[in-house]
Amino acid sequence: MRAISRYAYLNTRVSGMAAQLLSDHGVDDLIGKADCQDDRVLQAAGLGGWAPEKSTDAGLPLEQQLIASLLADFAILVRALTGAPRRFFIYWACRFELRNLKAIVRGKMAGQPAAEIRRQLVDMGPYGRLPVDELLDTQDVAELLRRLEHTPFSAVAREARRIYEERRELFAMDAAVDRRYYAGLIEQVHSLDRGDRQQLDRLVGDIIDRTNLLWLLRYRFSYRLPPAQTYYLLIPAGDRLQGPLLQQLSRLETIEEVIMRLPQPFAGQLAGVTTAADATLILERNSWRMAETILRSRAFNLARVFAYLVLRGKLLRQLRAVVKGRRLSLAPDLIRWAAGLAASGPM
Amino acid sequence: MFRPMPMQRIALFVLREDAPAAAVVLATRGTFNPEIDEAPAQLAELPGERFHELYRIARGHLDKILAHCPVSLDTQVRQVRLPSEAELERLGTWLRTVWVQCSNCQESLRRAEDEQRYVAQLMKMLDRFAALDIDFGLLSRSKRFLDVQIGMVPSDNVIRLREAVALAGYVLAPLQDAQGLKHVVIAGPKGREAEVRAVLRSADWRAARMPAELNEDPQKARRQLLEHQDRMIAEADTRCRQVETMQREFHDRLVEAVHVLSVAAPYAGLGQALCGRGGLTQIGGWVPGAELRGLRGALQDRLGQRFVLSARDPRPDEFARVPSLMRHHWLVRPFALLVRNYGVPRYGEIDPTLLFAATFILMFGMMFGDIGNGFVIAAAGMLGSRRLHGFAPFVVAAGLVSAGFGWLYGSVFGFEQLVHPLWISPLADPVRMLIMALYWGIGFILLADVLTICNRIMDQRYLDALLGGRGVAGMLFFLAVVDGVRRRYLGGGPGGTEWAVAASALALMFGFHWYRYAGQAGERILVALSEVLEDAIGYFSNTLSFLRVAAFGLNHVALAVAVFALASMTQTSAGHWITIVLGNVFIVIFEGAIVAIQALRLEYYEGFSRYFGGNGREFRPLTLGAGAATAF
Repeated sequence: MRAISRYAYLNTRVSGMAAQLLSDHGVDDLIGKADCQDDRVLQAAGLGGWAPEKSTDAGLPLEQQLIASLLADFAILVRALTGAPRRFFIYWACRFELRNLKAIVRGKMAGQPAAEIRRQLVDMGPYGRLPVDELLDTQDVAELLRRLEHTPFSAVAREARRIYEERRELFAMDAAVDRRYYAGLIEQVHSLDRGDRQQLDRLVGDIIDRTNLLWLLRYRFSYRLPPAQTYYLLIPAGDRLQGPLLQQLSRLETIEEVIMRLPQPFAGQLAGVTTAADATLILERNSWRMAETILRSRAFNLARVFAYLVLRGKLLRQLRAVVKGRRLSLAPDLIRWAAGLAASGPM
Repeated sequence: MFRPMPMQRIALFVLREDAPAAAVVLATRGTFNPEIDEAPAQLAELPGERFHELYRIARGHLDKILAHCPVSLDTQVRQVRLPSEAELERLGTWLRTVWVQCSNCQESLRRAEDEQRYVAQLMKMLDRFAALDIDFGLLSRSKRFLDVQIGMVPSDNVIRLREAVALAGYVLAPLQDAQGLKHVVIAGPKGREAEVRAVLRSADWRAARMPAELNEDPQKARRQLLEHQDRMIAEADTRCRQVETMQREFHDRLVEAVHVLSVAAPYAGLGQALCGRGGLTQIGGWVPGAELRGLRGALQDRLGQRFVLSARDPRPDEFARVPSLMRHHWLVRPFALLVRNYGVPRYGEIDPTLLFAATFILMFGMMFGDIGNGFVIAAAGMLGSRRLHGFAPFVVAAGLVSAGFGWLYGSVFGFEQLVHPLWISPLADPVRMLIMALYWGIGFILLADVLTICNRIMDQRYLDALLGGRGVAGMLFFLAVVDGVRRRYLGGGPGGTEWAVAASALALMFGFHWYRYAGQAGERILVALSEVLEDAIGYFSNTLSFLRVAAFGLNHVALAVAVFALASMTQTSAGHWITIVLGNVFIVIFEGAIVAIQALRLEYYEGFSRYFGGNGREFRPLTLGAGAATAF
């Protein structure tokens, strides 16, 4: 009863927004229509105001437009929240700010002009904490990092400084930032009261497990990192994949061995998979399915809001794949695969 | 006085070479708010764009330099001529060079401080080892089968690192904590050093560089570390001296740069408000109507006849964009600040500052009526006027009105017997106090409704003004119900007229919401009913909110009674009076603050939320000097 009274408005908004989400069939239809223009693709997904022709030098690139639309939904939903639930969702949106931060650090390290870096950034509106203008006005990386140390991202600044001074390995910085972000997300979930955590911890835990598994496959078998480093770089939390199991998995030598040692449902879902890319798509689809189940449920809880944001993010990724695929004149099957609609890549 | 000053939309046409001079005139007058849009298609060029960009870059460097090594500046902007684009570019380049030096200096300073911290931590570790019987040299030395490493990692990373190095057959032992870092020793069989090094890099590992002499002579090692620390301190000192030298060396040129950029600020501040083609330039923006004549004269003095100034009244469709400029008497300024804290009046909207000032201090007095305490507050306002930064009139007024209500209540520092109440002692008839508070609330809400109606009419939302929940219909409903309740309280029953008026008003409000909301019939009914219900409930909940005015008046007396009760428990006369004085200090500080917050809450929530939009655009004039930064 308490949840109903607390989240009645939010639930109504989520239901209204969820009704406008384009299904996988809808996306599939868009890919199938050869004469469908980019603006039609975006209109079909409820992004009528967005003009893909603007994704040139003069306007926002497509990616930023799509993220901006997701943040617009986020802003509507988060307005109805207070306390720990609000902090949780604001923390979730922090991922886009971290994306900005990574773009700024990378851009400065690569010596890109400020205007070019700015084009890669997403406008966080009132939820932004990065002093973007100040950071872009810095003369060099050293000054950038000094400025960054006076922001809420000082830990990232310290990490980036070590990397910049010692080895200039940006991968290490990205990995550290992402790991810290996901560990924080789990902490945010734990700070919610029991009623609010219903299903939310399952969904977030599933996303963390999926991310950990994908990173493990990528670090071990694509980047060929040693087991100890692979394990260190994984997120120190999860639902089904916890520390000891991740230690065991990090020691294994082939993807097949890793998949065989996975607990259910991962082992079943990934049976026969031989590449990290295929595993990514399968696991993402399963997470999305879980989010859809939660969104369809009639329960009044935060998990529905989170599920909506996850699915909205998925749709935007699919649309990006469709628009980019069309621009590059890719075959429909390849676009389907990139949009996560096909289980494995075209032969 | 009750509305923002009438504005004129101006378009100033000047020759391109005269545009900077025109900008200086506009900035000197301080009455021109640049406006970006409305550039005619024929004037598509932006002649000030490059200047603006060069200024922005130079200003950015200068601000950073001044933050790093401040220079003393004259308050008056020296008269220097407007720099050309080439001069501005040269200045920007020079400022960049200076900033790079400052930045290098800062970076060296940071490194020196970092190194100092590191050495201090090593010293701590050395102290710890000194107390233990451990051959540190042996630990550090390379071994045939064992790989041992000593270093520091962020404390948060230790557990994860221990688990990770275990995969390579290593063990990790923490030694001590130091400022978020942990000293650790890791050891394992030789052969997998590369794997472990990779993990250590990911864990932000910092190897301890212990002196080789440690094993032989710990005192020598300590001396060496202290010498190293001294070198670091000396290096930091050198860097600081470099900053001082730079301050002296560049002082004059930096002061000059400040003046040049101050003069350049107005023209740069015009930004995209400046458009043109060929030799013609247009500057667009807003000027208070009363200032137009003076501005025209100033332009004539500077440019002669080489300009055309056209002005017009703002169109209704522009009202949302017209900047609002209010000028208040200094006595009312603190109240204006509190109003601005809520929002800026929209152009044409009623400025609630005077009403806010009057009702706020009245409510404060009603809730905190005490002659003694009131005069103490007023005296504090007068004596602390410097520290209060312009808020002194606010405090003095609140204190005096509090003292005034103290006469009405007959209360002096909580003593109820010293002065005969001109009206009533609050605890003598609390019900009457509550009824008076209700009447005050009703009056306040009706006044707020009148202001809402005026604002709606100004916005040309006539139907809303007439039939809206906060319009005439809503007011009639409220008045009818209040009258009905009053009659019932007096012993009679509400007459048919009251019911008829209330029902008709509700019906009108329902019809209005029905008309306004487009949708399916069922949905429209639901929305209209919800809106009417919200409006109706809002009236009564807001009115009841004003009961706190009486409640805090009673609370004040109750607190005084509590203080006297405590004072009567003391054994000595001195203790008695000390308790009374301290009790009154407590009342003045804490109750005074709470009452001020409650009065502000009533103003914001029950008043402003009804009639004040506060979504106006503040008038930001183009100005000379440092203030020019606000023009962006």
